[in-house]
Amino acid sequence: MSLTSRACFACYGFAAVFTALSARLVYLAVDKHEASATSAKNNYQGSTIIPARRGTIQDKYGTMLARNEPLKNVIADASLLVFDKKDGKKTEHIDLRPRVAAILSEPLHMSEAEIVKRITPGDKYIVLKKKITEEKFEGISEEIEALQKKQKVNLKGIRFEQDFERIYPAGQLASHVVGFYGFEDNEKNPKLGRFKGIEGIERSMDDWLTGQDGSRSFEKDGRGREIVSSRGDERSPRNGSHVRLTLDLHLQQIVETELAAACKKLRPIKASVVMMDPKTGAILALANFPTFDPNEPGKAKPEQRFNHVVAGIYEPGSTFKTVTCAGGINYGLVDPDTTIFCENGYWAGFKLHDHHPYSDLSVTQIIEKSSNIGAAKIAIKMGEERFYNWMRNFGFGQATGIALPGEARGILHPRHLWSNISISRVAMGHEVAATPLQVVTATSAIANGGHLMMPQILKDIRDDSGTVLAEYKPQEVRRVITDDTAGKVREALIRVTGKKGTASRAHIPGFRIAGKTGTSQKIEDGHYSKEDHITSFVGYVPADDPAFCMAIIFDQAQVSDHEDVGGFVAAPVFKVIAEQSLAYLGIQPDPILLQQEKDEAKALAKNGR
Amino acid sequence: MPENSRRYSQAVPVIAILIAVIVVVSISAFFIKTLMVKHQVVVGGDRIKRLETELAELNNKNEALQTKKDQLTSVPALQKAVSKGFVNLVKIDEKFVVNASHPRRAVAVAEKEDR
Repeated sequence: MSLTSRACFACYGFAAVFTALSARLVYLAVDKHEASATSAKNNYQGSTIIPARRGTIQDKYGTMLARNEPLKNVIADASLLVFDKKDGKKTEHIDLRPRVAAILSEPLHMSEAEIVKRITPGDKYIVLKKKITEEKFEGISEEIEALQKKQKVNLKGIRFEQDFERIYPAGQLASHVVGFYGFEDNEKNPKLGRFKGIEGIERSMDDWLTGQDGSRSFEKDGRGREIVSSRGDERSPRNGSHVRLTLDLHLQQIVETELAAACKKLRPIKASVVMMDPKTGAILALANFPTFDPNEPGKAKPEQRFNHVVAGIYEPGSTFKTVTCAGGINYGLVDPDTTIFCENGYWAGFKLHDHHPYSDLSVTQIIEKSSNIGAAKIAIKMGEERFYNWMRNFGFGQATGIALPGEARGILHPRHLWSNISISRVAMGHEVAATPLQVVTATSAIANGGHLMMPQILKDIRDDSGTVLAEYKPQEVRRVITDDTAGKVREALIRVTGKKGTASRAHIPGFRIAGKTGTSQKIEDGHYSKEDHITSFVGYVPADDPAFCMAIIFDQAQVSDHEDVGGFVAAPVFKVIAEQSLAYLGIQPDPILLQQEKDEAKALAKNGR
Repeated sequence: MPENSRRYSQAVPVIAILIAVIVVVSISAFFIKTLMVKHQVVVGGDRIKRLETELAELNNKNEALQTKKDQLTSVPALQKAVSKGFVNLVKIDEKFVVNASHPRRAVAVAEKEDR
């Protein structure tokens, strides 16, 4: 082969090689551009999520009801603990698990065998221990450091991960309001299950409490560590807002302590208390029996977690007569002194009984003695349509709109479903079902002079710096009765807690208390039970300038038959709670009234002698 | 080489060498300075990272202590402490209580009882 041919051959060879290389280059740069660029980017770029902290829940004075406790999880990366080390042609298998286990077993209170067993080779994320408190973590990290130095082992494959746990410092107090936080499964897509508020304010205010996670992109060095100087975009996390409630934890404590004491004595199936500021509609205390500890929601049965005040309904019984009589007075059909014939205890036309036979009773006496027949006659005077609208005006059969989940609307059948005798039954609180919250809201409207207030459980929402993001002001739904009617009904209700009234046991010396007892038969298998009752009392104090309105309901209190009425069961509980609450709120008894009562007692004692 | 050119030529090209040395020194200084700044940035970044970690740890400790404080001063915890006798409450006698809304009456009662 001549020199020229060889030169040509070499040139062709070079040309072919360069053509192939160019083709490969074009293929990688054009066809595989996306994949190569992504792969390169992943090698030197990384991103991390900066978690937002969940907001707290506080009472009206800022006492913590729910907050986060920082905790640590111990994570093992098996790829850094069990691996093959190449040294020239030799490959050495390295297993650091036994040495790591020897170091960690004592501080983590785990056996060495258990640690070795858990670290599965190849697995990069193994949780060795969960939820170590900061206090314990300090001790553990010092101990591990000392052991590392002593045994000359680098624990690169072990790291501590930040975690949080929701803590409820007040325990059972206000648990039905606060609710709890936990993991909620997504039935359709298990991957979408997430931690969120499950019940109470934790659920209803979840969006405000959750906040928004932040993120940061950065460049990595050869070992995959963040190069802080080459940080890219950063979005700061927005921590969850802090929700402040209208609850007063001291009043809540009084209510829950007394409710627990009463339930121990009366052994009901369930019981509820709700206390409201009638002027603003703010809920001051809300308690249910049975209750639960939100720190251990898994241990609570569903009936313990049920908020009867908001989601439970019952027939209000005689407490409803207040609304009926207020209607008659407001429409000018009767006045407090109007006499109504009460059929001597049995009204055959409507198959209606009174507990005691009464002939003529004034409207005030109908409330004081709790006459079913008297209340039914007032409702009949109003007429079905007007009476139905009257109850709707007071909010029965509709949700109040309180910011708690699962609120029940209650039952108020539309008029076309009423039978001929329905009006007489609804007038005395039968054939109608309400939540304790609806009953206390309606009674508060009478207490404050006729304004139906929207029940409020939220006071305000603040951010981390304390700036108020949202403020919940008292909201009037509508005016339901005139001031004059409210005054007349109030005077009748005061007589209920007087010596001759059905709730004399609710009386507190030196205070005028307005209230109404209620006793309704439970519906069992579609019929009214003769033995099982729901007993209640709803009242407000001081009657002339109420500090609070409170409803107390007991379901099937274990007492003798003649004692299973609101006046015997619920009224004394109202008294003990109200006495302590008034003392806490600094409301003094009226000295003139106190003196009058003392004088009356002295006179009675003298006459008795 | 013409005679007059030889007269003015130098045996050693001092100026050229000087220029070259200045250029080399400047370029070297520039690169060294760049490396130093880069090193400073890296060291500073590491320091920022360390401080961030420390701050996060301190925040966590602070929050853990706040939680502890809330748990120890919560109403149920205090109630337990009172029932165990860990916290002693002494009831103030009525005669020492001054009623803010009726101060004169309360003081008078106290004085009367003291007599």
